[in-house]
Amino acid sequence: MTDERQTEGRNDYESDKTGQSNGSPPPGNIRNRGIRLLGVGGAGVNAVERLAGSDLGDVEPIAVNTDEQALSACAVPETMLVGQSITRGLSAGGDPEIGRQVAETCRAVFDARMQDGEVVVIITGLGGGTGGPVACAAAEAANRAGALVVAFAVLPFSFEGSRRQKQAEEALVALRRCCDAVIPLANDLLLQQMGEKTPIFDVFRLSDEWIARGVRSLWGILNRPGQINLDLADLRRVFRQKGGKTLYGLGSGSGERCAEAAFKDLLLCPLLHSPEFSSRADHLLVSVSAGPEFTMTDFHDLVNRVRERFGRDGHLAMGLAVDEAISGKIDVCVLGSTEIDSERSGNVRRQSRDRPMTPAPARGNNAGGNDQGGVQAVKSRARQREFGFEEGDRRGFFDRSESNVYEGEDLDVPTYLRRGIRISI
Amino acid sequence: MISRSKIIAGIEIGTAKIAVLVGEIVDGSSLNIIGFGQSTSRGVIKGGISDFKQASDAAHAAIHAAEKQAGAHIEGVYLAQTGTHIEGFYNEASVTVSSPDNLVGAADIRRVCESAKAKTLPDGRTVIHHIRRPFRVDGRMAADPEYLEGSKLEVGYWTVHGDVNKVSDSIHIINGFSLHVDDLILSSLASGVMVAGDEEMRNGVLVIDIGGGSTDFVLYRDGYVVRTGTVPVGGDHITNDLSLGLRIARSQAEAIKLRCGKAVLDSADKGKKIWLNGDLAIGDRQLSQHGINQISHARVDELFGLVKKKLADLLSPQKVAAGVVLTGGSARYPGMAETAEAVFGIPSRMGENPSWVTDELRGLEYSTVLGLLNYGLKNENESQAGGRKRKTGGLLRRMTQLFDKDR
Repeated sequence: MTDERQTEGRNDYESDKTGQSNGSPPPGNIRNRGIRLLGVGGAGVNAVERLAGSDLGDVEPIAVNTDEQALSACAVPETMLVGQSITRGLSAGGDPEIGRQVAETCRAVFDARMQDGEVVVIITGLGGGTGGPVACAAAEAANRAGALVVAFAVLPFSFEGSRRQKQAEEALVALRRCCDAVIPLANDLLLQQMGEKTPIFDVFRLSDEWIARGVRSLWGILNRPGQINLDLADLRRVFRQKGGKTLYGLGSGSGERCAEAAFKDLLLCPLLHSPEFSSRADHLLVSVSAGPEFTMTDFHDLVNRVRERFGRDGHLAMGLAVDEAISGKIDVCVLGSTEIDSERSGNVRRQSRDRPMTPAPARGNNAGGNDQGGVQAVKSRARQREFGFEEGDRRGFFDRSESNVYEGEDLDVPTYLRRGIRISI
Repeated sequence: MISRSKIIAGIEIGTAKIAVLVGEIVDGSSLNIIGFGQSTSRGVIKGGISDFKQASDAAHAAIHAAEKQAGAHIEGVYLAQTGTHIEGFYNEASVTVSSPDNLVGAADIRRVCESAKAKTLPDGRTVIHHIRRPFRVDGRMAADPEYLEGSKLEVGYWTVHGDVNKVSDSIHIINGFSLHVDDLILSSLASGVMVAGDEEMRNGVLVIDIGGGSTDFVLYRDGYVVRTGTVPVGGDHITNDLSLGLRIARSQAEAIKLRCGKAVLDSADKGKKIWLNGDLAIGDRQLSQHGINQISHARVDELFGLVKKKLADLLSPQKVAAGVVLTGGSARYPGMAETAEAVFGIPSRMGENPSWVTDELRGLEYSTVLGLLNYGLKNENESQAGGRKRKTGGLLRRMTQLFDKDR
């Protein structure tokens, strides 16, 4: 709750802008909280551009890129051209080193732009040059301004080659360290959602759809007064430690037994079944929006099942918003985070406030950002193992074993994902 | 005359199971299998020991059960080796025949063997096998070149080496039960001799042992081992892929794999649905058989593709005339042989353990332990009849002898 009060003062800026968005109009004395939607790099800008055209509620889209040409063709009203001194308005050419140099030059710009704002959503494609490093710089700036930073990171297709995969993984680790939540969207996984004849445009549409639903859920949590309300403070509580894994799943159901249908749909959510997904979260946030006929029993039942399936015995926040407009339908959004070490978390929190976080050496791919060596780090690793094994981590069941890379391909990742074979389910 | 017997055990610490087979070798010439113990493996992932304590406990339970059944104490252990850390290289050497009449002498043979094996290994590696290829005298292949005429004697060795720490981990598990490891045998070599006959080895045969966490293969030609190798992919990967692809729990995926898994794409299965649990209870749902086939086919196809890639041009229908033989627990997965045949373009079939094996051990997952005892028998045989052979003694020498057919 302290976070809430601290940030309260800064946000008058948004209050007068946003009264007229979708859903039930809020009572007069409650202000809306906007979401700043930052598209970084080629893929990020494209996604933001597509999203800005759709009905997303109240967001403030900003396109950030090094590529002048791409930016000028972009329909997003606010654009930020970065790294002119380095790339001279060209793209980073897929070189993360150039991306890092660009990131150094644009810290001040970001600091100025991120002055206010409580929630910043960053969308970026990892594996190229600009995406990772510049997104990190933006996230750090937003952090300094006290905002909650959620990133959607699109990971490259396996067929794009091992070099891009490796760059993407490194960028993901770095991004996890500076964002409150990072939701990786593996392009490989998207193929699973497609028919074999889906045109390429629709493939990316689908990726956008996941992001859009996520942003909409976040917006709903922040702005829609629920019967059981969730707000920024709840989000902060769920994502109170950086560096952990983020669990993110969506489900929807309609019809007579819509609660059950929604839970089933949630279980089938492909984002929860990537090798990336960590099965149990220490902190869970379940947000449900449902039509007016939704019963308390159903709600109780649904929350319990979600807790059983995804939760550890830790903290669970739940929210329910009843919306006349979606009668006979229910949407579930589950957000969660794994802690690096709960015993240590208080300690780390304090440290990270006092001084900038020391970048820890990347320890494998499951390295948490807060390991600071010594006994504590050993302890934290032990605990991570303990729950990492339960149902899997980055590479699922094989997470504890040595990596299994042969000619640039991780053999522990399912073949069908790497080969882009669509599985009929 | 009192018969002398020795009790030996073949032990395989696998990813799925730990199997211990106890045999009694009588007079160094005949083998009776007198005990068998098995335990579910723990602390082993992809053929490598990841948790020493757990693996050790599981292994000791199996050894204990086997000794109990045999009613005897194990005197020596033949231990199977597998894992990603195992690698191999091929090295050749040639010498000029020293005697003036160009007859190959024993000293020439010794010289050429030693220099072919003399390659030094990188730090932290230890030799598991030196596997000799046939001698060549002026380019002619010769099983035993002694007293043949020629000016140049050549020989090549396929040297298999592994990580010192990992190899000693597995030895320590056995030592921890106060047992002595007589020899280390590469898993693929052990299962290879069980499922491939002498005739097949002469004509050329590829044996692929598909286990729970890893796959070992061995290629024979002219009756000799040409190449061995390991791919760190096994049945566990199919389970994992199914669990992710069908979005079901791991235990459910394992059950589905055993119940209706199939590694070939079959158009008849296109619309077929199967129940996840089959109990019609809440939470049960229908899965597409085609999806299961797709997931497992992709994995198995890739697995054989990796083996093919590793063998490269050693593989052709002419060079592997006796075809591909599959063994190991995961080889029983339906559609394996069809997929192998499609990938290699070589006739492929399931292996079979020899007919003298009891029903209990006929399963393909026991090829390796059976093979271990078989090597044990050969080894004892040779050391009993040792006087006749040139014998330099020592672990290294003995190991090479195991694979020298005539020497």
